[in-house]
Amino acid sequence: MGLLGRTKVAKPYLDGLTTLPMLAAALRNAGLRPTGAASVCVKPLEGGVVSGSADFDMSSDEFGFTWLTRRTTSDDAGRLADDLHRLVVAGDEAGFGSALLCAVVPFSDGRKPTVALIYRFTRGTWYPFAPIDTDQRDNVRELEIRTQLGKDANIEKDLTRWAPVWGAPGV
Amino acid sequence: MSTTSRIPSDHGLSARMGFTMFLIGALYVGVMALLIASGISAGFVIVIAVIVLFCQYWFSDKISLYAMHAREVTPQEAPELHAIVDRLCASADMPKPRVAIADTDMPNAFATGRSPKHAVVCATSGIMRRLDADELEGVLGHELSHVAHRDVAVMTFASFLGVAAGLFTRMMFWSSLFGGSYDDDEDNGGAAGYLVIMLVSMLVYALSFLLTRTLSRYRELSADRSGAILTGRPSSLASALRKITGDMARIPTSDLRTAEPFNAFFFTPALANGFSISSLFSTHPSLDKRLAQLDEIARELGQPAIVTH
Repeated sequence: MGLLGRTKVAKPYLDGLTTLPMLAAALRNAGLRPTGAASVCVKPLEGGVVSGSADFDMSSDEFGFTWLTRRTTSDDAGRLADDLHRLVVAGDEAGFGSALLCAVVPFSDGRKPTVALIYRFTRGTWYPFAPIDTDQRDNVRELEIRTQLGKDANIEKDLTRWAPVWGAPGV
Repeated sequence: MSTTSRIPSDHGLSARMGFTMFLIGALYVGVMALLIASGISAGFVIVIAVIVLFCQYWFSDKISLYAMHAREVTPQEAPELHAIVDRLCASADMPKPRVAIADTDMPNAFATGRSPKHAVVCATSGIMRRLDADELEGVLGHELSHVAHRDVAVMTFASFLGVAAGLFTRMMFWSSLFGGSYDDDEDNGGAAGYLVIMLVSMLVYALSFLLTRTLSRYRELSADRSGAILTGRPSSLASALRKITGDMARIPTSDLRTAEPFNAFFFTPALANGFSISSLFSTHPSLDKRLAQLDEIARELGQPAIVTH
C-alpha cells in the first residue's frame, strides 16, 4: 500500500464460515431455514480476473463487484458451509484472499421476506440482514435474530458494522 | 413560551419548567452581584457574553445548517418531506419553516431559528430511510413544536449565565497569568481573591450547566407532548423514538460496497444551537420517560395504549 500506510494486506478469516451449521441450528428454532442459495462477493481487482468454479455461477453487479453464486440449492447447512469454505480457500490460494468482501446466506421461514446472514472476511464475523423493499431494513427482526443466535456465536458485536448488501443474490 | 392555540398546556410540566427558569434567574442575580463586587472587567465579560449569545441566537439557523452539512431543499426535490411539513403547519396554524436535508446515515432531525418566521427544520437522509411516513410526521411534529415554543430563544436566554461564567473564569485565569505581577503590594491578597472568584465562577458554570440540561429535558418532553397531540398519533412518535435511539440507530443503511470511510459519527459543535431529536448528551430525557408520556397521551386521546417492548 502507501509509503507510510500498511504494507501488508490483512489476512482474510476464512474458517469462521464453518460455524454456519451451528447458526443454522439456532435459527431453526425460529422457523428459519437456509433457502439453499448462497453467494460470495468479490471486490474488483486491478488486473485480476476471478473465475467461477464447477459449483458456482459468476455474475457482476452495478458496483462492479463480482458475485459467485452457488448452483445447487441443497438446504443442508453443513454442505452449504463446506461449499462456501472450499470456494474461498481456493480463491485465497489463487491470490484473491484480500478481495473477498462477504458471503451472503439467505434464510426463509416461508412467510416473511427472506433474511440473510452476512459473513465478513476481514472481521471473521456474521451479522443478520433483513431487507424490506429495496432500501429499508427491518432492524427489529435483525436484533431478534441476533438474540436467537446467542452470545457465543461469532456475531459482529459492533452494530455500526452491520452494513447492508442491497440486492444480494437470493435475498 | 407561547404555545399554539390548538395545543393544550401541561400544567405540571409548565410549573417545573417555571421553577427551573426561576433558579436560573436567581443564579443570574447572584453572579451579577459577584461581578460588581469584584469590580474586574465585569462589564466587559457581560458585553462579550451578550455578543456571543446574540450571534448564536440570531444566526442559529445558519450555524446549525453549516455544522450539520445540511442544505435547504425545494418542494420539487423533497416532495414527501415538504408535504408533511405543510400538513403539520396548516393544522398548527403556524408559518411554514424552511426545510433542509443533511446527507448522513445518522438518524436525526432538528429545528432551529430565532423565530417561527426564520425557522428551519432539517432531517437527515438516515432518518428518512429508517422511518415510515407516519413516524417521520411524528418526529417533525416534535421539531415544529420546538419552533412554536420558541425554544431556541428560551434556551439561549437560559444558557447566558453559563457562558458568562465560563468566559469570566477563563479571563481571570489569563489575566492572573500575565497581568498579576506589576502590583507587588497587593499581590497576595489579590491572588487569593482571584482564586475565590474563579472557584465561584466555575461552580456557577457547573450549576448553570445542570440547570440548562434540566430545562432542556422539560422542553423535550413538552415538544413530545405537543407534537403527539398535533399529529394525533402518539404511537407514531413512540415507534420513531424506538427506531432512532439505542441499538437500532447504530445499524447502518448504506451499502457495504459503497461503505464511506469510518467517520459516520460527527458531533454537533456546542455553537450549533438547535434542537435535535436524538442527542449524545443528556439534553434529552430517557427513552422510557418519553415513551411513558406518549403512552399517557394515547390514553387521553382514547387510543389503545402503546405496547412497549
